[in-house]
Amino acid sequence: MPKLECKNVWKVYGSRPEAYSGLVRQGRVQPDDIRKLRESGAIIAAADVSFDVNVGEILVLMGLSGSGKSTVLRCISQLVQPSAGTIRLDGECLSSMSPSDLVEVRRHKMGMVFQNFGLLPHLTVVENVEFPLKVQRTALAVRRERALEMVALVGLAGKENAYPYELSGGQQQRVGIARSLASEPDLWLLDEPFSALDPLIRRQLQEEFLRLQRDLKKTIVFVTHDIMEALRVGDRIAIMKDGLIVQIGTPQDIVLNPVNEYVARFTAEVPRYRVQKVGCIMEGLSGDLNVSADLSTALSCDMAVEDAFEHFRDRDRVPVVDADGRLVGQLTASRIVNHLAKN
Amino acid sequence: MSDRAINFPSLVNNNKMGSAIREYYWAIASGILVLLICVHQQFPGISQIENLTLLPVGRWIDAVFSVLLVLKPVLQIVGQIVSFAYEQLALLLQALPIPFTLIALVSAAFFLAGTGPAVVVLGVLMYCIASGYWSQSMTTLALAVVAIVYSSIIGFWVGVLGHRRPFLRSWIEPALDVMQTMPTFAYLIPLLLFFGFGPSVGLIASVIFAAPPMIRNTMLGLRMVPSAISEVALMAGATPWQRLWLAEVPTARSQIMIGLNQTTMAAFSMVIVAALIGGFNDIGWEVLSSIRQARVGDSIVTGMVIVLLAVALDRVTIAAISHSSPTAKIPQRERFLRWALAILTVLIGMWCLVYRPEVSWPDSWAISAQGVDEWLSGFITKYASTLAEIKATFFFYFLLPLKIGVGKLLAGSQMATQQYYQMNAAYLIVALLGISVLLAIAVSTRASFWFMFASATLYFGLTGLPWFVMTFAVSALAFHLGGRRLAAFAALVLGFILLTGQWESASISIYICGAGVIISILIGTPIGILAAKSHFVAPIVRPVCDFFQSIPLFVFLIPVLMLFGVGDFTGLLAIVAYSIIPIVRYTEEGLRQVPEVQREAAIACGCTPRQVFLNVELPAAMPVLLLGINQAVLFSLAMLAIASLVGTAGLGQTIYVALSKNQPGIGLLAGICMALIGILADRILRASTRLGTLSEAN
Repeated sequence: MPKLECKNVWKVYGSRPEAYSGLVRQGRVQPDDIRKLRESGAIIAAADVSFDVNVGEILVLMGLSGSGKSTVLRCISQLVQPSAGTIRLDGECLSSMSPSDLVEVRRHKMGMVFQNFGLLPHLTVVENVEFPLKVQRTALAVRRERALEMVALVGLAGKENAYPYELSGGQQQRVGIARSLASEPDLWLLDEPFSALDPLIRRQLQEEFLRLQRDLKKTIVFVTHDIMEALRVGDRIAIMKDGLIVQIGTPQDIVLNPVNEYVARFTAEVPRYRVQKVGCIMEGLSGDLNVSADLSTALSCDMAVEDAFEHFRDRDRVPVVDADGRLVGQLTASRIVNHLAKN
Repeated sequence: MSDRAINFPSLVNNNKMGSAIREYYWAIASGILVLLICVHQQFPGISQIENLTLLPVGRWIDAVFSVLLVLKPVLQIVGQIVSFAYEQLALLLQALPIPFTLIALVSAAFFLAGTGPAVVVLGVLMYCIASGYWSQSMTTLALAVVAIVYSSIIGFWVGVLGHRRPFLRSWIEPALDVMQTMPTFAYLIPLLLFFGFGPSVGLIASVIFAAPPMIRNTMLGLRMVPSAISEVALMAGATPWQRLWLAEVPTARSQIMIGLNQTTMAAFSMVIVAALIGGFNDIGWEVLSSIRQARVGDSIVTGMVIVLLAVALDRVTIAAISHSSPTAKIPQRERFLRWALAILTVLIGMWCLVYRPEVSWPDSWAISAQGVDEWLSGFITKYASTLAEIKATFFFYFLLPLKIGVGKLLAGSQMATQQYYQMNAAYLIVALLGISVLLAIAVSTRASFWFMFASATLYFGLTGLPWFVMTFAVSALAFHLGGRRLAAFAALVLGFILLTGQWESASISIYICGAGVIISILIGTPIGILAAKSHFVAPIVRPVCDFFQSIPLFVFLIPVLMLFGVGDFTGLLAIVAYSIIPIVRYTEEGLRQVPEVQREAAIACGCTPRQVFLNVELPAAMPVLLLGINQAVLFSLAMLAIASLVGTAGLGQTIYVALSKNQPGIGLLAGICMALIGILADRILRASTRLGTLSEAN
């Protein structure tokens, strides 16, 4: 069972909810329907959005501003009540929960990081981090210990007693990350967490985020408008436009098999070798293949082609193995060059 | 997403529809204006208010009150509960030994607001002792503290409620407008009827007057909390109560503290005014009785006590905003001083308890009113003729034409016959029409309309202007600025004033306030510009403005009264002194807010400094300037009510007379009229700023 399930989620502002309820029942919604609805005066932030997120997976919601990605995230956290559709966390439907049950879910199962950090200006770093525990009335000693642990985890040890205004943007978002992890949530929601930061800091925090995730293995929904960021962090990416999900798939799918012009334009600048896996361009095992038996330097078939380049520094053919270490094929330098030339 | 909620299409449609009317709008309006003036000349009877059937609203209100008086016993119990806290605090402050109160208050100021304000408090309290009004000061302080506590607690919770329940907010905002523009005297009368004489009336009036800024700032502060903060609290699993207390209120703290400062000043100001309805050995009463008995020196000495107490309250509450903020870093030296002061307070308290010292103040230190008296009366007798001349010149060349009109003034009231006056008017109309047509061709129909209205006003005087001409001109302006709804509101307000028989007093009020605001603009704008432009002027102007704004209205009357006696001119000076503050402030603020980019762009285009100012800075600052004028109008109305004490006629006087005759109906009615005038002026000026910014955006 998926950790998080979104099924036919709609968020429509404005009057006349009956106008789209017909569409809700119909099932598959076309962009034309949405256009007609908009012309009738409805403001559609999310239309018929469905996806699952599995345990330990990072799903990225990607789209331009106004595409509805943040609305979907807010529907998941129930900061915004969806107009229709169901959202299930661990099989429990969030939208039909009582307010007090919802408070419990938020206290124990969800953590959220905000674009503009959302730090409480009157609290120090450590007080901000322990805030979620404070509202649960955890004893001071316990929550302080946990908060200090989190502060150290995000690399802010020594800044515990600073106030938000004394920190740089990157440091502030580290506090935001630490706070969202303080109550050990299973579901981690990130709303453009790095968009307000400058490119170098953004890159650095993305790497740290991935490092944290390798240890923590949370279930993550990550919102961004930056395609490079989406490709870097996402296990799967959902591209949104005008409230609809246009395409959902692995980074490789998105870049190599865009469903339409819109998605293709997004990924036009992305070098193919960055997402393409070694397994896709290698020569499979066949009779005339002459592969040396030494597999210690072999490439893994899920490796991005980009990362394979350095293996060709002193030779021109390298064996490829699958996840279990079995030999599945080989990659030659000329094959890579041919492939690059084709794109 | 939210920006899509604005209904752009309807806005565009409106403009298209109205454009045909708008093209000839002022020409049509000018035509109607001429017609109305001719009607007035031909049939003077129509403009006589006596010929109208008036609604006895005043008596209706009286009737309602006589029914409501059944509640009196219940309300008196409420009044006793309200004044209980004050009585206990006053008793305590009177009973405590002076040295202990002194050190305790100074320490409190130090804890809350730091070194500077503590020194100010020390100085102020020393003055209270030296002037010999310690006991009265403490009574006033007790009244003020209790009023501040009540109004800030009530204000805070109403503000929170208004923030949480949007449908309540739409009720609260207009109620606040009325509460703040209605002269306080107007509701003192019914309060007196219900609660009887005593401190509870002053306290309740203070709460009505002082709670609005707290409500407004609490709502504003909570509204300005970034949505991320509330969402963070929600996502952390905070209950609504935790969200308010742990996240939203602390984030909105500084705005709420600004509200507390404004509420403090308003409550203090009102506590002083409340002395009018009966003294309780407080400082307001001292000032009032010394003014009434023409003890000039005493009124200055006691007036200074009020001014200084106000300054101390202002300094402490302003400094507390940053000083007692949770994020403030307190230096080691100050921590040490805090402990020292706390210990000192306890020691002095114990010493007072054991020895019960009689504080004897050396007579040579005491501030005597006599010296002030002699010096002042010397000054006044010496310059009596100059002062009288200033007053007469001003009165004849500015106030009188505005009040009764050039027509009557030139004709000379004794010798001119009615025909002569009529004939004059006929010539005038022809002459004006000629000039207006020329103006319409040369400049614009709008300019010609306003030229015609201004000349009619000058000719007939504001009090002699027929009611339909006035109503038409104001509604036409309202329609131009704010559309049908505002025009309807303007017509309703003026119609209400007319039909309730308040037109004459209202026109006198408008004349005095109008004159005051015009003078304020003429003097205040250049000062504001200077303050914005010069690094030397700003540091002088700002504290002066702060100082004047923190003083209770009442005190402004003392010096002008001494110099110029009772009358319109004195009232006018008080109004100018008070309403000039927002003009100066907003002018400076508006000019400083102009983005540097715009200035640089203008310079890069080759503008001379004068061109930069006229073409870039002034237009960009215009909305803020208009807001300043808006404030000045409200300030002048507030001052007008108080100025009725020095014999200014108009609605203020109606209220004051009603107060002394115990007629709640008439008093309330006049108060409502003043509030309506204030609100109407506010809406029209706000509409004009909106129009200004819109045309700028286009």
